[in-house]
Amino acid sequence: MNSLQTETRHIRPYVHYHCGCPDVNNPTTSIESEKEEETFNIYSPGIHFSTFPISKLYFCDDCHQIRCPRCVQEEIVCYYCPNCLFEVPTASVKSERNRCARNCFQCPICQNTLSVVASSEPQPTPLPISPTVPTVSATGAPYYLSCGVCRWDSQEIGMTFEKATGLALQLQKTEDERPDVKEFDHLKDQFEKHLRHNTPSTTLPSSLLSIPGMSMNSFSSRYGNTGLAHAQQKSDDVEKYEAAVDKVEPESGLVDDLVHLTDVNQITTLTQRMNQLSDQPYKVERLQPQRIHLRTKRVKRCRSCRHILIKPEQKAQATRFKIKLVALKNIPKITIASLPKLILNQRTQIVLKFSNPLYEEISVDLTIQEETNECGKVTILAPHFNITPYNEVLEYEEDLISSRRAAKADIGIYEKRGNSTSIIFEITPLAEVEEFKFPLLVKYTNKNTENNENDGVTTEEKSSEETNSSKAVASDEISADESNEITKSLSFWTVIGLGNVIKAPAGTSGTTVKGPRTEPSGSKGSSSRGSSSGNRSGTSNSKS
Amino acid sequence: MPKDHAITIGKRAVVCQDIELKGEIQIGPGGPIIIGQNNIVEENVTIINKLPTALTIGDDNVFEVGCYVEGSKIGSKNIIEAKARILSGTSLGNNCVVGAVCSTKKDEIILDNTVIYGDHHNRRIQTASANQISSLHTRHLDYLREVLPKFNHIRVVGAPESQEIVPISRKAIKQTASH
Repeated sequence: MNSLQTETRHIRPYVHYHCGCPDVNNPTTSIESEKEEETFNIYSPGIHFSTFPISKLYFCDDCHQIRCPRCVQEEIVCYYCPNCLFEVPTASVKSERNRCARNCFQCPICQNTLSVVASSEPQPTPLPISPTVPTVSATGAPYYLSCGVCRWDSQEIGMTFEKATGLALQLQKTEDERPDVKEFDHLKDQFEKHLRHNTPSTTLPSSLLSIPGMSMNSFSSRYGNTGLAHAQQKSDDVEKYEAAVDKVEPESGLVDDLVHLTDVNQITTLTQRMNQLSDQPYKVERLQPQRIHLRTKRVKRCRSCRHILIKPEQKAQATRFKIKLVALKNIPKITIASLPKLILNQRTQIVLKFSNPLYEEISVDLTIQEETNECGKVTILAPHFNITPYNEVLEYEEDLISSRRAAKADIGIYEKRGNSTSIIFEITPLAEVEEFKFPLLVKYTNKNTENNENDGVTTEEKSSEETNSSKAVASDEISADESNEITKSLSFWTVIGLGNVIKAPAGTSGTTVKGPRTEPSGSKGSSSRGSSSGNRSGTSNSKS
Repeated sequence: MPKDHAITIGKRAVVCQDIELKGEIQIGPGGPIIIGQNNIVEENVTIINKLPTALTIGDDNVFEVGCYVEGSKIGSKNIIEAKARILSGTSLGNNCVVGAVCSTKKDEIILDNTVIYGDHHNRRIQTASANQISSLHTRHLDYLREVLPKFNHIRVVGAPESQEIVPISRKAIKQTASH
């Protein structure tokens, strides 16, 4: 099942956007970015780390650049519990060990959220007609935790609670008694004393300090070692450590139990053990419910200009964003609109749909590196086209728009409707590969008038002609026209993956040309999927 | 309500409108599918008996939305969660829970108190005392019995005091074999 999933993920079509990450990469190479762009290699092993689906990308307004998760800086806004949505103040996050200190626990068996249940004993003879009156049991405390998924409950391990609130606090007492916890606290005390003594006064950015565990002491001890600190450390050695607890006894008879194991369910799974890091027990009975991990909300900044790209609301309950500069709202979105099966040596037409999220008309230039790469031949029938601006009102009158546009459709343009234009690509696979992919350089130009808030659609329509003529503007360059208009352009690489190529079914000749808008050849040849991997390795060998 | 001759609907049963009942079905005692008292059968549940022998379903079971039951015997106080599947020949004990989208194996005997859960169809035996399980289960049934009629078309047949109901909804029971 698992291998099948990975296989399908491998051949699923996608459109990924490349982010050059100018701030992450060496500045000397970014000077020759022009050269680098020309040799954009989609087969380099690093391609998976620099290309992303558009949903993961941000867009910096000031730099006028795409920003990927690698080239943003994150700062923590608040900590909260995902279950009870309680905001934990930064000061107490560390002391609460990054977990919810209230009522939220996860099941030790299946890691789902546990719920607090009042224990009740039924009446001696439960009548099916009348609902039983819940009565507090005489033995033990009245509350326990229960899992709705695997039906585990904390009474199994003898864990009950006096009150239904503040469960973590009630547990704290018993937890503090455990020898391993005691020993750890003792160790911590010993070294904290020492570290505080030796800390040179370094100032750290507050954003780093907000990370729990990244206190002044630990940071300086790890990275900020000055010569002075070294000298001090020599003079003041760590005093001899004496264990608080003699020995933490191991689980008795564990080896014997493991040897005589007959049922898998008798020992804990790896996930269960990893969720209880402090002792990682093998016996199911020793599993304890764990407090739920806290989550964070983060601000994301552009690394080069420090402007905020993402800023969530402070409150944990609010899901809105104060600032949200995502790529989806700023650069043309490319989707694969039609993708028939790719058959070896057969020319196939695919349709890519370009949508314009901006309120201005944009003109798009498409370039491919080379017509023929190791996968096959790619031809763009319409390398230059315009996309009409996004308009909320027109979203509802889409049919009207498309009928008007259809009259003056150009060659290679499949369809124009609303704020999108669909373009036909011709693909001729020349090798039987697992994944047919090709790089595509997208360059778009839009016109910003000075007062761009009051800008209507009509002026944009009017100026579209001029936009067409000013295509030759170099990328990432802002030039002012004679009128109050600013032309902005941006170019970026995309990788378009189209899934696997299959062999032509026997009988059909390789030179068959498929006309546009014929039925997808899905029914024809679905035979040779298995052999494709072997063939691919062959081609890559011949390449290298 | 279908007025087919082969179908006998026993006392104290509540059957929804728009129900599709095929073959010889008796709701109440006797017949190839025998459903006991106090069961709750939700929407789109399929209960099929392809075997010549009778499929006996005990009391106080809940069959949640869209589950598929083709066992040989179902005990009492079981919960078959949404889209769960009980494959042919399986015999289910008492107090079992078949989790959402989980399924049993074919011709399996599932012991009492078994819980099947998670995407790997893990199993465990619930250890809570029988009293506790049954009291919780009774409360669960009471709640469902109260809530379900609010969202389903239910026509009460028989005397009003017949409060224990078998609310059977659309397309609930199919029976293909008619031996």
